[in-house]
Amino acid sequence: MHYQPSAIAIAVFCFFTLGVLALSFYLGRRAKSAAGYFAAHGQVPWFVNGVAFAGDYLSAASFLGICGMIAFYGYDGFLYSIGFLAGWVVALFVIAEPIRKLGKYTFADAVDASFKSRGVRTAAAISTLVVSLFYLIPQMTGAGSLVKPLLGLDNYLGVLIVGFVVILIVVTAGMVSTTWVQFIKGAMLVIFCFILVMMLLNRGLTKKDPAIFPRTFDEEEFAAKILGPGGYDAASIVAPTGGWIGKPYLRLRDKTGHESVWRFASMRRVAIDWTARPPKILWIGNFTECQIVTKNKTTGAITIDGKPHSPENDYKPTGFVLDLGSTAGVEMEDGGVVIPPSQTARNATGPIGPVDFLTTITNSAMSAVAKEEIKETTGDTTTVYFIKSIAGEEVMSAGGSPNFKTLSQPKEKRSWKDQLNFISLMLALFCGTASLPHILIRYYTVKDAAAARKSTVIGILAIGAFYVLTLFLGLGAMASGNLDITDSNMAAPLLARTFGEIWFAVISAIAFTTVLGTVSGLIIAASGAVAHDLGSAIMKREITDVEKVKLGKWAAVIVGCIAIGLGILFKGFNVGFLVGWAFNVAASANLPALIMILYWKGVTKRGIMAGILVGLISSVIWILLSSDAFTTLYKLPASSAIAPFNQPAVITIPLGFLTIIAVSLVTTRNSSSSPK
Amino acid sequence: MPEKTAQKPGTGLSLFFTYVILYGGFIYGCVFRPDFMATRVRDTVTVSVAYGMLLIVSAAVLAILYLRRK
Repeated sequence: MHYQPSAIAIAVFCFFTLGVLALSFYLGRRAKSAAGYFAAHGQVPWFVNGVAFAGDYLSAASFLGICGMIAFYGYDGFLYSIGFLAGWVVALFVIAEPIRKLGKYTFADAVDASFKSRGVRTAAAISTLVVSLFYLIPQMTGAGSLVKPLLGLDNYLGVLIVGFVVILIVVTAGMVSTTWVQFIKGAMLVIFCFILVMMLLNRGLTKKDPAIFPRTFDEEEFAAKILGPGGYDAASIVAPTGGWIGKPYLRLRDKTGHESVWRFASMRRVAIDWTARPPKILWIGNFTECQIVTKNKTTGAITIDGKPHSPENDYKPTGFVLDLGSTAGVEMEDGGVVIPPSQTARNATGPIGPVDFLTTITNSAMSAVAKEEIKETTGDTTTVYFIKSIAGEEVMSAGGSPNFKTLSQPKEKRSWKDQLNFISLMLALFCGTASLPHILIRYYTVKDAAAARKSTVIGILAIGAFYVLTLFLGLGAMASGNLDITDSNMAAPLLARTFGEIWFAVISAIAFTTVLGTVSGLIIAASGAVAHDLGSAIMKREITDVEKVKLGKWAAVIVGCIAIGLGILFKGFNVGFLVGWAFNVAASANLPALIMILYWKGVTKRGIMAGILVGLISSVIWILLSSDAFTTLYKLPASSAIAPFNQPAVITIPLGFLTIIAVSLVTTRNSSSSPK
Repeated sequence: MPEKTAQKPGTGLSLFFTYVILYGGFIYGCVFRPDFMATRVRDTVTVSVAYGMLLIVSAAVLAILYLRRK
């Protein structure tokens, strides 16, 4: 989709971004001049810290990824919202309180508290580094998506900008967590999303205007309007070749080379007699407009509808209510097909309440983004984008996305692998939050235990409220008529654009500063792991503070550069999906170690070391061998993947636990390395 | 009552297990009872949507309970 950068968008964007930068530099300087500022954390009010929790946790993945997934696939995106919030329950009730009692704040400190072992510290640092990198990928990718429409820059430039700005922040402002920046960012995100949802409900739902793309005609209308006088004639029909043969598409090409492609939407009977000259068309059925995008196999150049890709000839927006339902009941036809009770000929709901909004969508027919790849005889690949009508009930039930398809299939068609895959992801999200390197630290930015608890609750309230809003934003984007078919990450900002350019600018700028905040936090965590833990382990001595800072800054630069590279590599991935990977790795590597240290006295340092490394390595290898990685990363067929399903957590978390128990049991007999 | 304001060691974990049952029930429903999850709550939204919202709200409620019991 083409985005025309507007002056107002750039102005708002620069205002937000520079404001956050200035604030973070200011606070960084203040913190440097008063070294005790962040040690005396009592100064941060618990409410501010609570909202800062939300600022920290609600990353680009939560905001852009979940909204995008809901807009494309319906309910499945909301599963991530549910899992991400559930993780906080583990963090608050199981991990945070006992760790507090240990008096340790970071993952490495906590696992190493009772051992003082270089090996444990190294394992914890490596795990922190890997998890941070996995978590950095989606943040960078999200930034790339955002910059394109806002500033008219390419994806990779967005990733570069974020990378350099963040490295600048980390290196110049130092290792200081800017709680106030996260507070402002978190508050703005929740408040503006709330306003956006209010505007959405006030606008209500509107049925698709039949005159805009993609149009649908029955055979008579099609003959009259498209093939009629002044339109395409029978001679403009492109005979199917290569992969087009046997596919339900009719291609028409005018003299300029522009193509108009139609999908036989309901194939009652469609036939074209190719032997006749000119070919004779025999059909009965509906025709729905498609868009075809051909990628040249050697140059990579893109043509859309037969013409070169340009601002005038671009991807068309989609996302519609095809049939507007009422808030009354539904009727079911024999075949189980939902007939939306829309025969009331209502075209718009007008202002609508939140429950009615959800009910109306459940009773409506929505458009779903669909595509089919076709190999041309030239070897080029053509992607046909079209919309499918999908019953609102399906939108509002699990199983709409390719990853969770099994959840919407009848019992006999389901495979245990796919079901286990789903359970595995939900487990990873549940266990992952408490294992993220940058989350537990937040619990301690206020020193007093009561204030810490209060701020955690504020955090959970803010985050929970936000996740409720994601369902409305995602569904709103699905019905907005302004969905970018090529990039699900842009669903929420593009929804905002339907309310005016200024909203687009504000929402994008907030999302962008969200990325900045999360990325700097992660890079600080990762470089801290290198400087604090790996540094002394490698040099085999305690390193001085000056060396530590120097090492940390270099580590930040290197980690930042790696993150830039990965962000460019993963362009076009849904960021919520990528975050799922990070949660799998974090939960597998870190959670078993944390739980065992806190709740089992028999644990040994070798057990912890082995547990962290086994959980880390097994989950990373599993992901790299999964069909997700095969299809999206290596461009190989899914069938050649080695891992039986995509999400490793259900196997690798127990594996981590078993390793710790087994190795601990063996090593206690041999040595006396267990904690006192 | 003084004993109620005292630290209760099991409180966090008991709230946690309450939530585990709710969350586990949700996953069980998604995987094994899709028909039930697709039914409507009083002719409005699907059970999937209502249960998901319930999970979010209950996390908040449990967190507040945790705060108050301390």
